[in-house]
Amino acid sequence: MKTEILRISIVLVAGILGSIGFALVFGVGKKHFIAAIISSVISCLAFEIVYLLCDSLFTASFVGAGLSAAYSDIMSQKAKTPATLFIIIGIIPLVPGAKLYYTMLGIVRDDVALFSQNGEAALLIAAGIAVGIITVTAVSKPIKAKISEINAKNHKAKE
Amino acid sequence: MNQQIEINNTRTISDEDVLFIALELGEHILRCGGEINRAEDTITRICRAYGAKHVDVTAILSMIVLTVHFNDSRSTCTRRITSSTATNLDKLSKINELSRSICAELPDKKTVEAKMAEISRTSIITKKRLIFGSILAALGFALFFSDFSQGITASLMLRVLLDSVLSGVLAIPLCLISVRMDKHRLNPMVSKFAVCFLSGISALVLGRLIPLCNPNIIMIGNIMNFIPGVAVTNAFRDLFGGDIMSGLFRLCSVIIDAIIIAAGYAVAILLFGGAV
Repeated sequence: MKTEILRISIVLVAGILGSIGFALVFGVGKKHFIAAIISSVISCLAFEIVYLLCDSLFTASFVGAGLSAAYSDIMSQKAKTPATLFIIIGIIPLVPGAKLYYTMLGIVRDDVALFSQNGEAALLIAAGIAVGIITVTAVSKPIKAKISEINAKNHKAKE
Repeated sequence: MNQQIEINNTRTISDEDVLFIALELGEHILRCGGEINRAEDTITRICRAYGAKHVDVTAILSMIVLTVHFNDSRSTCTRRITSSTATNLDKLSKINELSRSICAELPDKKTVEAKMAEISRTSIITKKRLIFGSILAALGFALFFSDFSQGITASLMLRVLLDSVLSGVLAIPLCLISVRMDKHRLNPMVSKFAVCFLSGISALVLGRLIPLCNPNIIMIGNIMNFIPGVAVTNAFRDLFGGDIMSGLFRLCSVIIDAIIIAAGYAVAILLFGGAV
């Protein structure tokens, strides 16, 4: 357990460093910088904890991406800025870069096991991320519409 | 087309100018990494704010078609988006703020043009920022994707840190080459292939020179700088947000990008006899 906690801590620090790098490259402004990095901390931590508990790449990436997308939606409403800004930085640590690399290596080396294991894992993670984002977007859209409807009604009532 | 719309009894703006303002903002949203939905929504809001009765807008990554019905006239305009620029989330955020202020204040074309020019001029993405960001991303993700399954020992940590630092250092020339290639408007596919090939060759040479380091991890750290994460995210958001055509368009471009990145590294590894 101690080793796992240590591993998750190292991965989290590494994920934060990588996300800071991407936030700089993609031009996230000072105003939203910390909020964007928190989005990646949420996805990274959720992925690691869920993967530790249920050993499923799909579920872990689904929960990670979903929580990050939900946080991004809330932050975008608060900061009145596009949710894309937080989602993109939040999703970065979930992108299966290593799995894609080893899939390619499997093809180059003609190693079917290396190719299929990593290819499958990369697809599962990508599917998890996609479903996570879509689920949150699908749920948040009607909620946002309802909130703006209530706000408009309140505004009219005040007038 | 040239009918004048009276705004707040103090300012006049032609139908043509309304379409120009809306398309200008829509185009910039798409070019700096925004979703199709956002571009269409912004265009609709701006046109409605200027008094449009009905707005029909269709956007794909390379084109926006806009038809606006005013009181007794109808204007249609098509904007071809020829070049795509790099993701710029700060610019996207500023354009979003500008669209809100346009809807509230209804400025004329010149004011909007001046504000857009100011947003472009004050871009926070500088060469230094790009290089520093690339170093951090390569270093961070080399450490992130290191294998800790055999347990965490001091010697393993030392090797992992060496790989991460080497990955970060390698990101500097790769970023500079990438920026130079973009400046010379080289075919993006060719430049991506070339940079990935160079990244692969450099990591493999480092692996031969420093036997302690793991070229796989050095390459993985740098691959993260090229993987189209933004495009993947936007592709799925567009696809399942109802913009099937744009989603598929982005997805195709992501798949082609991934093949080119893989080919760049694969050719480098094959040149070294497939051994990493």
